[in-house]
Amino acid sequence: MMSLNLHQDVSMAETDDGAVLLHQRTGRYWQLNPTGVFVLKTLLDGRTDEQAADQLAARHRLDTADARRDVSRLVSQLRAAHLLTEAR
Amino acid sequence: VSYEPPALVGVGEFS
Repeated sequence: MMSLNLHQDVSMAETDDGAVLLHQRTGRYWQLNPTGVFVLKTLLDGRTDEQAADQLAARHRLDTADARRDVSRLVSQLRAAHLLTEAR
Repeated sequence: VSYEPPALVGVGEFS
């Protein structure tokens, strides 16, 4: 199974409003909201996108399809920003 | 059980 890690040059600092992600090589940084932090931590714990979505759906009583769409969108954003790497 | 969809927002760049 493929699991996700933060890119080696990326640091995450949790804040009252979620977390800030800093790419130390490029100097770029991003704000992640609390729901995003929950999803990212779930993924970094080795869960799949689907499992993260299921946990999100259970936590907020969401429709599973809605949760999967939201998780998929976040993962796409994280990948596009080069904040994640895949580890086999 | 308030839901805000997960969101990543680019803030800026350290110089």
